[in-house]
Amino acid sequence: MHPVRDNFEQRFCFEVFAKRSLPCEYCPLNSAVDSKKPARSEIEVNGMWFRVQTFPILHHQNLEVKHLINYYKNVTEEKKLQAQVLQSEKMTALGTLAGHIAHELSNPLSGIQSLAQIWLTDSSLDSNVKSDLDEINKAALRAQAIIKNLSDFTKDKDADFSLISLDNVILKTLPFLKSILRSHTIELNLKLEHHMVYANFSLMQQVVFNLIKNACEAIPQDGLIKIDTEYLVQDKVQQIRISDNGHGISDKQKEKIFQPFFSTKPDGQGTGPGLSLCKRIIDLHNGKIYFESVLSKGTTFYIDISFRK
Amino acid sequence: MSVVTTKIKILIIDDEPLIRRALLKLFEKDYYVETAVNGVEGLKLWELLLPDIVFIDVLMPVMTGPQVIDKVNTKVRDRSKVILMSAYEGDYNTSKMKIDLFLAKPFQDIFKVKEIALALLSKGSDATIRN
Repeated sequence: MHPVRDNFEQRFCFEVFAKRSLPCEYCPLNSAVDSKKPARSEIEVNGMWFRVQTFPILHHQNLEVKHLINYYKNVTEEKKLQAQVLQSEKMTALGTLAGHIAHELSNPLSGIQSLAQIWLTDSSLDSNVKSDLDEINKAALRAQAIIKNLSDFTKDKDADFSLISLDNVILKTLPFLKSILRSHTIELNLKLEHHMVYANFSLMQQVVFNLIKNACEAIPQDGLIKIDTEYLVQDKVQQIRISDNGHGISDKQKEKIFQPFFSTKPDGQGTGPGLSLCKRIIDLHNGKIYFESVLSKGTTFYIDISFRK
Repeated sequence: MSVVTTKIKILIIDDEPLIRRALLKLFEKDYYVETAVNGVEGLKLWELLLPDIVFIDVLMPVMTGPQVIDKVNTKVRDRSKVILMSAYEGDYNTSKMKIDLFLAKPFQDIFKVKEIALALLSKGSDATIRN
C-alpha cells in the first residue's frame, strides 16, 4: 500500500478525502507507484463517484516516487446519465422484443382459445373434459391479458396531449376499480379541480389505475387508501399522492420497483409491467414518479407534473 | 377442379394451423369451408372456389394478405366478403384496402366472429372489430 500522506496533517488521503480508515477500493495509487507513471480509476465515496488521477513525482536522483498528486473529479452526475442512457437503450430493445413476442403469441393463443370455446359447446363431452376445456379457455384469456399489457407497454406513445384536469382523471378511473375497492375505505382529497395540465387522459388513467390497484393489493383487507391532489406552489407542480396502509416495500424491492416484469405478487398474479409502465408514462409527461414506504406501515406514491409538457 | 355446392362457401387463409382449425370447426357443420396455408395457395383457391367469405391473415410467408387482396381478380374479389385478420392492430391503413372487415387477433369470443362474419353477407357494411 502506498497511500498519500497529507503534507500538513500527516494523514492518509483516504482519511482526509474519504474519511475512511482503510484505502479506497479501486484506488489508482498502487499502480502509479509501481509503474511510476500516472494512473487513474474511479472510486466511490459516500455514494458519490470520483474519477481519481494520480500523478507520481519522482525523486530527481534515485527516481523513486517522492510525492503523489491526486486529482479528484466528481463524476456522479455523469455516471447517472450514462446509466439512464443505458437503461433507455435497454428499454427500447426490450420493447422491440416484447412487441415481437406479443405478436407471435397472439396467433397460436387465439387458436387455442377458439378451439376450446368451440369444443365447450359440444354437448356429447363428459363433464371432466369440459372442465379441462374451461380451464384452457380461461388460461388463454389470462395469457392474452398479459400479452395486451406487454404490447401496450411497448407501443410508441405518440400520445394526444390536451388540457385536462388530474382530478377528473382520478374521478373517471375510480369506477373501474369498484370491485377491488369494495373491501377498503377510500379517502379522497382532491384540490386540482381548477388546475389544468397538458397530458394524455387515458395514459394518466392507466397510471392512476395501476397505482390504486397496487395500493389495494398491498392491504389484505379493510385498508385505508388515500388519494390526494394538490398544487405545490413552490415547485410549481401538480401532485397526486396515492397512499395505502399496507405491508410496505422492503429495501431490497425498492431498487427494482420500476423495473419491467418486477412483481412482489405471488406467481401469476402480477401480470404486467404495471409500475414500469407508470414510470414510462410519467416520463413521457416530463413528470416525476417516486414513493416513500415503511414496512408494515404503508406506501405513498407521488406523481409530480408541471403545467408545460 | 370446380366446386359445386349450394352452401355458403368460406375460404380461410392463415399460416397458423390453430387459427385454420378453429375457423374450420366453427363453420364446417353448416358451410362449405376450404383452407389455405399461405398467400399463394390462398390466391389460387380464392379464384377457383369463388367463396362468399374470405378470412385472410396479414403476415404470411410468400405473399401477405394485403398482396393477395390486391392481386386477386377484381370480379372475384368483389363477390366475396373479405375479412382481414391481424395481431398487429393499427399498423395498416385498412381504409384504403378492399376489405369488408378488419378483425383484430386474438379473438375474445370465436362465436362473435361467426356472428359478425355471417352478418356481413346480409348487410355488407364496413366494420372493424377491435377486441
